[in-house]
Amino acid sequence: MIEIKNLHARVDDKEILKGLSLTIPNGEVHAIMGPNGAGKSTLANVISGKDGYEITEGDILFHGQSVLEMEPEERAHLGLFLAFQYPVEIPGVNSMTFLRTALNAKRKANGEAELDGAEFLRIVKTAMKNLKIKDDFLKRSVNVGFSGGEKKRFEILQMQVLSPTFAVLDETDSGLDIDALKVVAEGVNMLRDPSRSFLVITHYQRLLDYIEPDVVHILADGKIQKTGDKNLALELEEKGYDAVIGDAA
Amino acid sequence: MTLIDTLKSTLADDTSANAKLFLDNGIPTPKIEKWHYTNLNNIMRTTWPFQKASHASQQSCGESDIRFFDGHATVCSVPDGVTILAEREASAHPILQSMRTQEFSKRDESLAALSHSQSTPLFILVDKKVEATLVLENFSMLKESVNFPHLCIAVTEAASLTLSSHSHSAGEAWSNILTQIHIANDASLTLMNLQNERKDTAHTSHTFIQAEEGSALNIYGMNIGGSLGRQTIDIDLNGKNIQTNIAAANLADGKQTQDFTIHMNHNHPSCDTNVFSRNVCRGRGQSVFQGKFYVAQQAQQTDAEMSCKSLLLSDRARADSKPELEIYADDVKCGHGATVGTLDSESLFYLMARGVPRKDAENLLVEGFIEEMLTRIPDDATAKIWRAHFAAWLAATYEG
Amino acid sequence: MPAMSNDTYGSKEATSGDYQYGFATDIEMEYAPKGLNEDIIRFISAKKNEPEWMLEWRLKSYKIWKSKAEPKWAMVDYPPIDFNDIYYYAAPKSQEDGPKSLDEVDPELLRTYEKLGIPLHEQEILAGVAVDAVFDSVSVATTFKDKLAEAGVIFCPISEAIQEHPELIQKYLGSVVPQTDNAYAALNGAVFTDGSFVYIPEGVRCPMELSTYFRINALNTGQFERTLIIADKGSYVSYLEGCTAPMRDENQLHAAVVELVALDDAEIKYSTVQNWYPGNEEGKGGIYNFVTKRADCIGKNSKVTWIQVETGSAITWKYPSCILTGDGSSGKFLSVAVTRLKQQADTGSKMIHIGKNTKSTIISKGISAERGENTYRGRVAVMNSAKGARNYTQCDSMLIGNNCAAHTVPYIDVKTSDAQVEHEATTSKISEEQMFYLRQRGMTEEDAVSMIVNGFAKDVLQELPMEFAVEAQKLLGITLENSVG
Repeated sequence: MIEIKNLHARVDDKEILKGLSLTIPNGEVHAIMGPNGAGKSTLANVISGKDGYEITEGDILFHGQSVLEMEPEERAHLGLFLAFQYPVEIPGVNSMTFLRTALNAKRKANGEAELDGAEFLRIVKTAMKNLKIKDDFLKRSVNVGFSGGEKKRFEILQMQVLSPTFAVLDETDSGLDIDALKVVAEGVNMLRDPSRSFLVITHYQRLLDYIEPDVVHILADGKIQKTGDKNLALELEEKGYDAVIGDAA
Repeated sequence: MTLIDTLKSTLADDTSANAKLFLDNGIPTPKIEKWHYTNLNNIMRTTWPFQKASHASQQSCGESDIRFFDGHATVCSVPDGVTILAEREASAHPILQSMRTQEFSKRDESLAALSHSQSTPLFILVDKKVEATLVLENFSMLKESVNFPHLCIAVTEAASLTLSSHSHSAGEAWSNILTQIHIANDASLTLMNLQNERKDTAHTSHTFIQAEEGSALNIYGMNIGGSLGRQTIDIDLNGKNIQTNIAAANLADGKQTQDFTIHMNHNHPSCDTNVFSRNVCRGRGQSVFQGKFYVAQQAQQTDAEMSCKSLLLSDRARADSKPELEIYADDVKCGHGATVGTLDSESLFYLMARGVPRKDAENLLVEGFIEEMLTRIPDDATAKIWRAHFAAWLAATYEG
Repeated sequence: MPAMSNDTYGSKEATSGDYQYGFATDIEMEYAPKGLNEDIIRFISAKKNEPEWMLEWRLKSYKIWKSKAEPKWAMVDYPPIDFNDIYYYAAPKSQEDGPKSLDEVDPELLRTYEKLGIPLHEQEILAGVAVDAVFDSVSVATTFKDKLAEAGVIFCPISEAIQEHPELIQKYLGSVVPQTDNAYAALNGAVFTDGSFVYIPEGVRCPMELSTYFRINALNTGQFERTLIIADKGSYVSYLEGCTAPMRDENQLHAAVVELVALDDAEIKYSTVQNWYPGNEEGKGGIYNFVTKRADCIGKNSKVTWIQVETGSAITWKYPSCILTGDGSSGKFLSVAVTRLKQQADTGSKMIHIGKNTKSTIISKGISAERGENTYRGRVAVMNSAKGARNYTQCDSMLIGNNCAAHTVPYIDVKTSDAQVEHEATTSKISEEQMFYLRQRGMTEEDAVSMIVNGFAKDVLQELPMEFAVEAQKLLGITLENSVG
């Protein structure tokens, strides 16, 4: 379970999150929709501990524990995963090595033994098959020369391998064609589980046709303006932000 | 006695710092890094005695606004907002005065220092917010002479100056040109220098530019003529957000050496620089391109690119390049690329397979190669003139 | 020299006093007093029991050295060296001076050894702990020596080669790096005392990577190493030099010369990992590493590859080069150089194309951090005779932090139209986005830096012999772990 309580965050002198509260119980998928500049990506970054944001008020609790003072990697070890809107290129770093290092870092932090090559390969191969990713893919450098669709698929592959308990998907649908979108959505759905929760950040309703949310929130002006079920997303799609939440958009 | 000997004895009593720098260092040798590739032996060995014209031999400017005859300026027309200042007026203008009193100190600047000590500069002031174009000519008339055209230009705030210059000569000579330019905040400069001297004339030019915040520099140069063409461009970026575009072409034939040496000092953040060089060598011609980007510690977000390509069309030709980076800031994008080679055989074959004779096919490819540089010149009229000079160069078979 | 430890040589000073010139040759002595003159050179030569021609060669080097100024064109800055304040011949240091056990060794050093995964007994030797002279690797070494002898490979100290193989030494010593090349090379020619000699006979593929198993024995190679490797027709050898572990060394000035000769169809691969003492944060102490390394690809289709990982030394002045004399010969230079603290490195390569269809590749990865200054300096020269020559140069710099510097100084001189030369240079930094991405995936800051840096240097590291590569990767990570933040 993740609880965000009255979160205020600023970049330089500009307040971006202005008292955002949100609770996602285990096993649920919540979607956050919102216009440009609403603070969606800031929320994703603040949850995962990116530098450059000042939290002036509020708290983020992960399974009851505050993560605000934690480094990004410590949050990752607790089971937090962020699927990036713009996955980052790391030239010269083999994707397989990267995945293995990440998985073993997490296992080590949690007092588990590092995986041997065969075990690791089995996990990765299964995930690759799920996501229809070709074998030679992981020989390439992390995200270097990947198409938009490949990058997003690789994000979901990492999610499957690292098996988080809470995943934030930051506009994972942006730049995807419909086939890739389906593959990515399936990859997410496969992980839906009573012990795992998701926060799906998106600009468009389209993704929610494939990843059906339990709850939909509308974020605007740094706050949750409205909460509802999946029909809220449809309503939004039909009427636009202005009509649904009024001036805050 | 060589020219340099007589020059030195003429200067012997000159106690100015600039004269002294030249007297101490003489003509730069290849041991001096900035002159590593370009040998000035021709100038060193010249035996005619030092003579310079005492005045301009003609008063007409032809198509130009200003014409230097043997280093002496004749001003025929000046656009609105541009003032030619007398020495006394210039001394009251702090920027122009600082150019007038500038003391060169680096060993590699001894030729600029020589020019400074020997010349009477033409002072040009471009008023605020004025947009002006000046067409200028350097003409060496006097046989076996050294001439020192010298310009001091102040482009004031938000003004814009386009200066197109063409150097040529009627007899064997040495043109040693000094240009000092200050570009104020938000001002812009477009500088176009065509060097097409007689084949027995040496041309060395030294352009020093001080650019302030928000200014824009567009500099184009071409070396075609002369026994030696060396254009040195030294730019200090003294403010942030300065945009610089430089494109230079060397065409070397016979025993010519054609040289562009461009040093850019990035002293402040967020300046964008692009330096583009194209070199074609045939006969026993030599091209030299030396580019250097210095990026100071505080010059974060500098974005500077340098590209240098050289084409060797004959087996005795040579191309030398040195694209240098000196970087003290971490958040910058700096890069350079350099290639040297001959015409691409695939492209040649393709054209020949379409029925184009080999010679024509070669010329087409060389034209395309130089066109990449010419096409960057924003002033169509100038580009057209340069294109014609280049076409004549390409058509000629040169022995020298 | 300022960093010369008085403690180390104090006892010798007491006996030699101010005695500087007119020093009489006395081979009973174990060391020569400070300073350089002909007598010292005679002493060294006599100590080594050298033939007359070798002594003459040394004396000629000395004369050349006296006439030559130190090269000044590199972008490195250091106080003038007092060449008369250096010992040019000292017997191996007594082990009694060293620490008695690892407990007495600088814990920082031990921590590095541990991270590098160096076995305990090797740690002791590297740290200069007095250990029993008989250790595991000696027997290992003997086994390998037998194997080499069987293949006809000569691998011995250069002083031994001067005695045993004078014809090879006379033919090749100084043939690639002439005594007149530069002041440091001339100095080395006058006073070298140690180094390796390798000869691979025609058609022989050296059965093992040379020197991997000997690195401990090669520890006290001294300041003025001289290495000569000759690969005869159709032979192959891979030579490894150095060690990832930081070594204790009291000598500040190192001026080595390495000469490689590759005959027809021969191939030499020379890998170096250099991690000497870099000095402290203020640039005090640390090794001056002034090395002349050059290969002559004299034979047709011969091949030389230089690979270097340079993380140590206060100053590195080093340009492993190839003279591509033979038609169809090729040279490669692959380099990773790290400068941090106040280190300065001016390093790169010269590729001189003389033969037809010669090829060269230069890949240089410079990493600057803290107050380090890193310069790539290189020359690609294509002579008129080198028809069909090809060169590709890639030179990338990474800057970590805003107090370091990265420079690129490439000279490209082409004198034939029938050549293709390509040069590219880039600069980059470790971006915040990259760091956040890796840390979000659970990696620590240190691991993330190490991963990004190793990715940056991958094109070079992957060419290193396997076990060296693994060590070098760890070394890069450890070297830079405190530089980001």
